[in-house]
Amino acid sequence: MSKLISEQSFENKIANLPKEMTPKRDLWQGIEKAIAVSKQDASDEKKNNTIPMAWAASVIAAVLLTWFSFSPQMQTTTVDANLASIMKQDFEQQKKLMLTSFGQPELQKLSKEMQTQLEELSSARNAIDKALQNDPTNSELLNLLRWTQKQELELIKQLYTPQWQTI
Amino acid sequence: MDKSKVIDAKEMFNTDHESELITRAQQGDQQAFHQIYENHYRRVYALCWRMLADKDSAEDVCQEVFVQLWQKISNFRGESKFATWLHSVATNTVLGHLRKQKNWIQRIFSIEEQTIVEASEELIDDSSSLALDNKIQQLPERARLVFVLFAVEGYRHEEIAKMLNMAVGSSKSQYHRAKSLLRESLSEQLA
Repeated sequence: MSKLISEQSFENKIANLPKEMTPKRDLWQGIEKAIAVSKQDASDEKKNNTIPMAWAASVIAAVLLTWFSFSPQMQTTTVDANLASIMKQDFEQQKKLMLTSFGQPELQKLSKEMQTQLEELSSARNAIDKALQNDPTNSELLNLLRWTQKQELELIKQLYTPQWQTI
Repeated sequence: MDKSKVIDAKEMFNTDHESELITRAQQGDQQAFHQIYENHYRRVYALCWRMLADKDSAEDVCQEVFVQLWQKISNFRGESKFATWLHSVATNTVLGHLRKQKNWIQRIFSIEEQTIVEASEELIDDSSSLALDNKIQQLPERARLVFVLFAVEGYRHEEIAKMLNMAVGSSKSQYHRAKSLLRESLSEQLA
């Protein structure tokens, strides 16, 4: 039967383990190549990023420009209690303009499904309007109102925009 | 002449020299980075070799560590010693490699108890530390990883548990298991 190696002797062996070892092959060559590739990739990425960045910047600029030109009230009335009514007026105006541009279509002629969707959005908007009467400066409600108005306008736009045939 | 002062001065020079190399490498100086590699690759390779128990994988992963280092060196802010930071990069790279290597059978059945029977050529020599290294290579994977990280690399069980995604208690029990396996194995050798 073999005698177990002492704790001390074992600890000594661990302490004497070499901290360094030398690999058989030269590792630097591969590292150097990989670094060169990663450098190249990084510079390519920079170049490729320039065009999408320019596009993104122009899109953001266009969105901001549209936002400020179509809703000038937003800048000045953030704490104004009348904000909800201004938003409502603005929405009604936009909706009227949109329907006029589509030749005043009769919404009742839409499919039941579409009518239901529009009704749901409309009733949601009315509920938010009512809630805003009690709490006119509630920013969450205002955001919700803006969202439902936007959804309603987009739905109308989708329904009546002429569908171009694609070849 | 006071010998300790000479040693201190040498250490200070080395530290200053290393910080300068790091700063240069952070600015993209490849020559400085090569010097950093020269100073550290043997230590990093030893860590990879002990954790992976395979010479070829250890060489590949050691290369990967330095490629990662090149990409991450700008993140080094000097809050810890560079060698410590480099070792954490190396340990994470090795563990990442092991995770990738585990095949689906191992994942499903949690087979982790396979041992590496074949000893590397350079470890056939039974003399002292090489014999211990040889035995470490033959430990089951989890026990080996915990043992190397705790006993050789000096990590705490809390740190190891986090790295290996296990409980602190499991890390401790794996260490004790590794230790008794090694002691038994070394005793058999002596007999």
